[in-house]
Amino acid sequence: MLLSEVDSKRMLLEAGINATATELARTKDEAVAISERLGYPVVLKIVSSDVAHKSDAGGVKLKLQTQGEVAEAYDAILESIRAKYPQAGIQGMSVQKMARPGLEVIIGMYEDKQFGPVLMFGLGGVWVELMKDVSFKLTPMTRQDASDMIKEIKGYALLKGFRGSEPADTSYLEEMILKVAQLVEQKPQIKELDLNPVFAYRDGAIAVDARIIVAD
Amino acid sequence: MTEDSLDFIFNPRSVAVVGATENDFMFASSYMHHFTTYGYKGNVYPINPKRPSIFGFKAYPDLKSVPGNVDYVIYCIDLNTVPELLPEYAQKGVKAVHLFSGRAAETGHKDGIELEQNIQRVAKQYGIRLIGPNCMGIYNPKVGLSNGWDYSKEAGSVSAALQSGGMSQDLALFGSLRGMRFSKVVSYGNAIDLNECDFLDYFAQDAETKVIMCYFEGVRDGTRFFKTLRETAQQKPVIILKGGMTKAGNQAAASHTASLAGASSIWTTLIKQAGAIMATNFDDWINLGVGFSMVPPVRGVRVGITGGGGGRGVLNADECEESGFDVIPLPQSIRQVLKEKAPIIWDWVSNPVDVSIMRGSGINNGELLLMMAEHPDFDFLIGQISEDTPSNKDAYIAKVMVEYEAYTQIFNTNLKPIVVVLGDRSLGIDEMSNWRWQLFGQVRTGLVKAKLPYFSTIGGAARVIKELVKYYRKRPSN
Repeated sequence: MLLSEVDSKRMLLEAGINATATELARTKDEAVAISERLGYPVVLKIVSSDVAHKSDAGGVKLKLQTQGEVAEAYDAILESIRAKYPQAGIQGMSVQKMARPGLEVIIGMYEDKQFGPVLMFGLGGVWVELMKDVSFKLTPMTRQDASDMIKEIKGYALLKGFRGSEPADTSYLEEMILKVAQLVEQKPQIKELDLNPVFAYRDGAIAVDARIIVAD
Repeated sequence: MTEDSLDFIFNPRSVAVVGATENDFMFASSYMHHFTTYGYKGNVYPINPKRPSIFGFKAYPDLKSVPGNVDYVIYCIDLNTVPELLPEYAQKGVKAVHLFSGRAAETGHKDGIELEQNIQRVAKQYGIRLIGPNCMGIYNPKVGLSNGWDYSKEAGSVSAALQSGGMSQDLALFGSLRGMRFSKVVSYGNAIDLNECDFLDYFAQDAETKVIMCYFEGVRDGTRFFKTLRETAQQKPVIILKGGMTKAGNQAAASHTASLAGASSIWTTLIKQAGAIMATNFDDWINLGVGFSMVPPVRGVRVGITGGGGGRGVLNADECEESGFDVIPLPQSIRQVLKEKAPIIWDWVSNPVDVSIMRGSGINNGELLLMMAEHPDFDFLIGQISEDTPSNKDAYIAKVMVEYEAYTQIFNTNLKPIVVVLGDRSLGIDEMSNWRWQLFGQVRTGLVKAKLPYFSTIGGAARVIKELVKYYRKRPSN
């Protein structure tokens, strides 16, 4: 069973893993109220287990700066989704503060039948999708494992800062990986997990989207 | 206690061979031969109701009639009778049984699987440990036990646990030829009781074992295996040849992560993370065994290469640089010495050393190599045995012997880590009586006697030394 982004983010935050706090708005007014509370800019995303690719279907609106923009975005998303997925059951919209862009990384987990939870790390975007430049480690993981898995990826140089882009706090990323390892070890019902993207900064990192699959 | 039981497997005071025979087409006869050939000093009891003796050992109709207790049984007859015999064995103090016979669960047949479960249950009930079914058992040259022919009788410090019997024989035989010397080698087969984790634990604490080699295809308890391998690899080098590199397979790929998991092997991840060394194929595995058991610690990558002509030297340098080594120029201080001793070549002889330019120069290959061995700028040396043939027999033999003696001298005096490269050529029976190939045969035997590590290609040597450097750099010398 795929958890909603709202539930996934909550699980992460409860485990001490930095993620953008995400709340569910069931109405347009709620969406605006939540945005006022969280602070602008915000991101609105459709919440529906029937929609596989939210952005492709016009189900995601970024960088909303005012109440007006939030309200407009709410309507636009609904219209788009109803057109593309007319049968979809819609729970509402998720609202989160838009994170400052950082270096995109991916932290993931799957369950190996023989060896249990396996963690994955890589750079986001084309690095993972096209180059499949990722590293894996089994649990239980040590601090050294976390450090090794970051260094093992081919694109590691990007994490150290390249052509003026800010370097990533790899120590923070190591701790984040270890916290994810701890989470999946403590919750054996978690079968698969994607934190993608995680924005990595000079002084920390934050999971901006999360996909957690639990046993039925 | 597992550790005690494994002592009775590797060093039993008495062994019974159930189904012992003089029929050389049966493995049970081989085990009887090996006691004599390898010099086993304990009591040997062939069990065969139809014979009074087997190869000079008094035979008994059953274990009951053997005088006194028996530590270890090599069981070579039909597995179906094992459950009813185990209680009798327990009465005779049997600690462990090597179930040589197979055709059990490895067939995939239901009755084979049930038979194994039955044997397992009864053995546990009577406190008897098992290796197998379907395995070749023990090679321990120190106590004189073997599972095959023509292995070295000299004991050493390499131990191995293998799922495959044939592979255990290949390791023992081909390893012996290369100069590897073994402590305890066990082929454990279907592993209904003792498995690779038990042996890894045992080898980790066994003072005689310094290097561990493994061959396996599957493990029963993945979590225990990862933990055990990691702990063992922290203490001693563990070199693994993995059979059957299946990828992670059809995971339900609802996440990006799971769909990527299928693209790489969990075994590669596991072995690397545990700190063990993964061989790429059988020859690489033997090479790594030679490297870790026979080459002293190497922590740097500056290499001095000698042997062969100019072309061979260039190719050798290429392969070394491919492996990340630094083929440094000949140090100035050596050149200064050559200026006096060998003025014809002093300023243009280089590293790799081209042996063909040294004739009549005032210095020979061996002397130059000694200077390199004494020089702090080199971390290790690779000595090629020159196989090219510009000279006639006597001159050629002399040249090769200069090389051989220099390499063995440097190795024996521990001046600098050195490995030799001596090609393994495709000799037919006619070639074997030719003086050239006999010369190399003698060199090879000499290297093995000196315990000098050698490789058949520079690529093989370079790949192994790269692993050694990686390993030893993590373990700084005190």
